[in-house]
Amino acid sequence: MPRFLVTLFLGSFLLSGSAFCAEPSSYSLGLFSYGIRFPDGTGQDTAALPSLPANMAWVAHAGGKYTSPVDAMAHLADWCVLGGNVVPVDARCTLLIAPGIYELGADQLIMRAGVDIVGMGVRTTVLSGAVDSAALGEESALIRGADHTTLRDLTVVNAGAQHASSGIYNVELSFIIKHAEVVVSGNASLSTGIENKGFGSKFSDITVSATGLTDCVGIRNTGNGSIIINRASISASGCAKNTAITNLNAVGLRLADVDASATATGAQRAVGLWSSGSGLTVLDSKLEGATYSLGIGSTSARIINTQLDGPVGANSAGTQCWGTYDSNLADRGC
Amino acid sequence: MSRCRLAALFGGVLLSSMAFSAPMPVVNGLMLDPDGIHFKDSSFQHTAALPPLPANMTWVVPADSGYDHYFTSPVDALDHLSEWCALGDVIVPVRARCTLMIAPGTYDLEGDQQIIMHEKVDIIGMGPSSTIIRGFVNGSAWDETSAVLRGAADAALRNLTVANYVFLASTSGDHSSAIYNDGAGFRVNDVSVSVNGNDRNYGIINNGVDATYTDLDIQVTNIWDPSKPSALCFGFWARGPGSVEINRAEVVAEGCSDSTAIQDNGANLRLVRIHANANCPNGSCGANAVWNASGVLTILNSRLEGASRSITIGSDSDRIINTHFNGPVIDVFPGTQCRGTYGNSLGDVPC
Repeated sequence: MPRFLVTLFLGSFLLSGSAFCAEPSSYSLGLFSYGIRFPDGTGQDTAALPSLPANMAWVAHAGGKYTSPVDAMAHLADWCVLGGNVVPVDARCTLLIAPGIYELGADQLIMRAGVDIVGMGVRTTVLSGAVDSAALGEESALIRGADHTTLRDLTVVNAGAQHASSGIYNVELSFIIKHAEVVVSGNASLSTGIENKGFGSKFSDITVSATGLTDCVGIRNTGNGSIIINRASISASGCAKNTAITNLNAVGLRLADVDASATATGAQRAVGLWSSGSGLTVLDSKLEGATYSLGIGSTSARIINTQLDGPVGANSAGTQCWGTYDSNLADRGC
Repeated sequence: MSRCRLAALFGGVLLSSMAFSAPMPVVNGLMLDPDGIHFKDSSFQHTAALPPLPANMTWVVPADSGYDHYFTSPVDALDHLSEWCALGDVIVPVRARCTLMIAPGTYDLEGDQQIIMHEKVDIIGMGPSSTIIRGFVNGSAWDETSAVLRGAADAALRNLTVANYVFLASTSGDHSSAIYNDGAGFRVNDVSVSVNGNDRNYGIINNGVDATYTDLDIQVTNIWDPSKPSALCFGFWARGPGSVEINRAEVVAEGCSDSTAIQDNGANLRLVRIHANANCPNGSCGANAVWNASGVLTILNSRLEGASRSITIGSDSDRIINTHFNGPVIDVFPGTQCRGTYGNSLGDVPC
């Protein structure tokens, strides 16, 4: 080897050694025997781990795998895979959504069986959009529920302003909503907070409000689905017809510790709870509506220890109420 | 300047310029520059990577999911507690707490393994439908040896399911439970429990300590093997002294000759918004919703359903308020224990 090449190599070695091996006077990226040191003085002595285990992903404005929950669900197979199948039996996936407001526009968030969506808390994680359609149903909802799936710890706002708009629509089995707020506020003609047609749904610790123009419903339970609602505040206002909770042709509705309130001005109608389905049970709740606090559609209905603030309609023969009272705490039988 | 010095200077400048002035390709597009590391996916790391969880926390993940740095069994994670739950030289010192997070998935414990919780170490799943722990445990007595999970003092268990699939156990023993606790201050929140198929089945046993249980879903059955006619099913068993509170629970016991949703032997037991349901899908059996043998009960805003007994009052001090009785009431005490209690037709049912 020519002498100058040896000198060139040694010079390179000397300087590169000073760059990567010795303590520089000010930090720059450096490789050391223990690992990597970064210009900010931090050191890394082990391989970086993924931020979450398998079958989980973050949606976040920065630092997450996705910036939109719609995008995350559209690419479900990229993060929710076990054994080559997307969400096989016994596998579950969880999509975590970091604090922030996520504008979905006209896009629907379509949940998938076995994939929970979890925010960081009501009004901390907000999913906001403007979804509407010509008729109430799966096309008018910002979020569509799924089989054996949970949606929790977040706020859902749909400001769809066309004919029909709703916050959440579900037709699947055992859909769960916990610790959530649902706001439908786009002044659509038909505004519905939650529309449920699925059997075995359970909603707990929720707040729902629906405002609009013609027909506002906080929770609409229809079809053959049964539903349990625990610890909820449900309201409807601003429409010609306002109903906090409607139970139509369904097989079961059970409310415990629920405040169902409909507000009317002028000639508007306001109904707290109207049920034409069977299997209605209401416990320790408050039903409020100037037109009707409660409409009873079945002799098997049971309303217990509940405040009825407004007239009772469609009162079937027999006794359906026990311990019911009005706003002055006077007995209100039915 | 001699020729060799000039060459050394040139070589140094060449390499230092590569190291400090322009991104330096290293391997397959990975680039280092003085400010950090450029990755092939265009991401840039300018500071050391943080661990995915803070100190005193770790994950349990499903086996074969490709995340080898985490534990794949909650038993293993607790066996190696000192590796992730330490502060100073003392594991879990006063006021320090640790949290074991369990990712979505179904975790089958090996053999007759148990999860033995530690004081001040919480275990948190991703939801009862998402994180499911299945054990195969039985024993010769109702004590801690026959439970899938043993609670601990001042520790919390939440957001998961614990199931004892004892009908698949490889060992024998007449007693099986999902959770056994004798640690004071144990808290359970948003947990589903199921036990199925042994002679003596218990969902949760709380033995002689103060504890709080909230948002429970308990199912204890013997439907798997109806050939065991003498079987016992207790959904929740409060044994011995201690103040035990259960808020918001669905408790079902069914299919055993003695199916009792909630049994109290000596505890000061307070139930709020409970649905206790005992039934006999295999034919006739003893179906008791709540049975107080020797404790003191307070029950508020609940529904007690049992074809044999909706409630057995065990003390003159029992208090049952605004509660629905669907089934006979057994009350041998002279005083008044009930207020606002009613039957299926909404008629008063005093006691």
